[in-house]
Amino acid sequence: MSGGGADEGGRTWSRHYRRPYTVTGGRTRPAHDDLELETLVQTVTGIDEQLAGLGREQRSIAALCREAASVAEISGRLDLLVGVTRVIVGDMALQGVVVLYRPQATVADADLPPVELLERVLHGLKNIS
Amino acid sequence: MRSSPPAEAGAASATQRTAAGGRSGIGRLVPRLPILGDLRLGRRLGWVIPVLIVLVAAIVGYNARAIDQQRGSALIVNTAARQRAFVERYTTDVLLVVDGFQADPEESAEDVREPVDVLLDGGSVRAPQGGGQRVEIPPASDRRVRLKLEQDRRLIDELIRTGDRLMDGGRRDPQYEANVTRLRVLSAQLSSVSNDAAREVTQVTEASLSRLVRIEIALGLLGVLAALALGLLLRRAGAEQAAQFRSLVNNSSDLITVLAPDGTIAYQSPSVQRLLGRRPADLVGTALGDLVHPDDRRDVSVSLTEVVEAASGATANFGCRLQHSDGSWRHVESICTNLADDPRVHGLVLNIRDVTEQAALRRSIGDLLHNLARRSQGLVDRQLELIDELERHEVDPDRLQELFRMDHLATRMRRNVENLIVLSGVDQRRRWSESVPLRDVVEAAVAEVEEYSRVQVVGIHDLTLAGQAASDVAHLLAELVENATSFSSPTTMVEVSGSPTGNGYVLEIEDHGIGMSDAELAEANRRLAAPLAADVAVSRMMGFHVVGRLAARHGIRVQLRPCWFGGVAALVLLPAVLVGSAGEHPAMAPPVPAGVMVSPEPLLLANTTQPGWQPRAHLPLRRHGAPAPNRDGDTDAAAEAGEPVE
Repeated sequence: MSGGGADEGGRTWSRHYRRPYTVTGGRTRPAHDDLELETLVQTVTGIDEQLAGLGREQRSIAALCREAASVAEISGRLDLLVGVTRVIVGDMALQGVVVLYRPQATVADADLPPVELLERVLHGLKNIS
Repeated sequence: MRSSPPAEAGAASATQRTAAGGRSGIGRLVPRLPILGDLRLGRRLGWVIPVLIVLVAAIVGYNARAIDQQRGSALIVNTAARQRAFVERYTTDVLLVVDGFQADPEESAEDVREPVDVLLDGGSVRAPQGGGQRVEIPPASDRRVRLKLEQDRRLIDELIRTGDRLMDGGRRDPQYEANVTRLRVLSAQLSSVSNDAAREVTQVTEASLSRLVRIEIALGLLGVLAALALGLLLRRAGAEQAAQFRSLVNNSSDLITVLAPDGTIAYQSPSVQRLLGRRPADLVGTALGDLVHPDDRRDVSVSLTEVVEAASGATANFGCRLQHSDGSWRHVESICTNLADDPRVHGLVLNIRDVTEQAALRRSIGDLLHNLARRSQGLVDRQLELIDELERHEVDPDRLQELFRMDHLATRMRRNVENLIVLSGVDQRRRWSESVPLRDVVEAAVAEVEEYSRVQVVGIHDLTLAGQAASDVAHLLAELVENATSFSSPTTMVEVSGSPTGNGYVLEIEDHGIGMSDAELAEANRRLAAPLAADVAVSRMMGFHVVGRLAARHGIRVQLRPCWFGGVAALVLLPAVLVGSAGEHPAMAPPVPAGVMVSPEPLLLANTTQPGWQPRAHLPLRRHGAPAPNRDGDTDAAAEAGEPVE
């Protein structure tokens, strides 16, 4: 029987028993429609006092995004569902804890595939792993 | 948990009724056995004793009457015998008077008449020995005696007439000689008749006396027989009662053991031969503890100590295993009564009942339950893994919403299934070797509750929980949180918070609901403290029972208490041995991410126009309702235990 053994398949207890729906109280629709996987998130500087009042995922995201990170990256690194990450990030943006940036292709060399595309591929690969 | 679904309640009460009926049925039979003996004994004594009393009264009464009659009879015989003497004296007196001597024939005549009159008609006579005393005697009743006495009287009349004529005429009377002769003849006749009469009277008296004696002897014999019968009955009844008690003690499957104050066996009923294959004589003087399974000794010792320290007459129940002489263990339940103050016992009386069969049955039912639940658990686990995979790749909010619903249902199903495994009593827990962040455990518990969005987790410290207890603690908390949400208004929040204490860590679950009455709280706390084996009552208060069982497995203490603002607070004390510092489990905060070379353009600036806005009331972004505690104070106070995190 799967899941019956100790730490089977490398799943830790927390992965097994914590459920994603509790993080957002069951919400799946982000506050912003244009929160894409590649949208960059950066924590507003000088907001540390306000962080104490946030939930643990929000704080982790705020810590991670001291340097801008994409939604997909946040999801991968923090092991959060993309859908959940989008909801949390959207809320944080509304609260003014983070700012959002839409990345733009700035590569001049048209022969190379755009960095944005490469990154999306990279994050996609990370998600699969 | 505080109420039961109607269908379950109906079934439960029906079962209870049956159980109660069965109990009272047995109750009608069993305790009557010794009483039955008493009743039978009472009925037999009931007729023997009055018979004996009647007999004794008859003997005493008859004796009194016989003594009286004997006295009377002696007097009658004496009176009859005196007649002759009186006649002779009268004759002599008459002859003396005629010859000119001084005499008083008149008085003698009275004396001659009196006995016959009295004997015939009844009356009083002078007692033969009693000076002037007079004794009443009854008129003679025997026909022959009366004939003789009447003849006697006629002759006496004739004698006295002849005497009168003789005294009137004197010696000069020509009839003198004839009269003297007549007087002498009459006197002789009277003597003879008196003799006859006396003999008759004596005979009659003797006959009645011997009848009296015979009746007396018969009565005496009857009395002796009745006394013997009574004695025999009493002895038999006593023996019967003793035999009844002995057979109750010997043949019941229960053991009766008397423990001396030092814990050694002072008396052991013979049924121990059947239960444990040991002879009572071999056990007396040995310590009870030697028979008890090593794992049970502490519990038994605790129970016995409680009873010893309580007042005389106090009782305690405990279960343990006792060793059979063949080495096997027998499950027993014992009722212990403190009779140290009873001079006839002077010790603890243990009533020990063999429940090995019940234990085996319970175990096999438990195994069945366990196997079924394990299979379901495997399936639910696979279902959850599948849902995990689907959720991971889902970007569409609506489909993710549906997946979350499935996830939530499956998670609650897993909680039920794992609770069933706990209730089955089979001690086969999942072995998660690594310790788990306490916060994760609390969040897992929240995920298992139907109305999870009404639950706020605040200020749980950055600690870890021993891995083998994680699932059980999560389910335990889930039961308590479920209880809190079910019995409070849907618009209120249930708060889970934590604080370190000297001997562990306390989790507190507070609701703002209707609260529980003192009786309900007491009953719930009783269930939490002493979880029973699975039964009907348990299924009705399943939640508290599960909590009690889960808590007992890990030495966790759970208590409900009323909140001063209404509602109920459940306190869960996790013992220090389960709780560790978070050092070995680094917090979730990731390392600083590698820089991504993109040129950012602000998409949305921080929305500062709505500082108080919250996306959804139940989104646990911020503490809801109550003002935020002083975080700095929390952090300082909990510096050694870990940082509080909302």
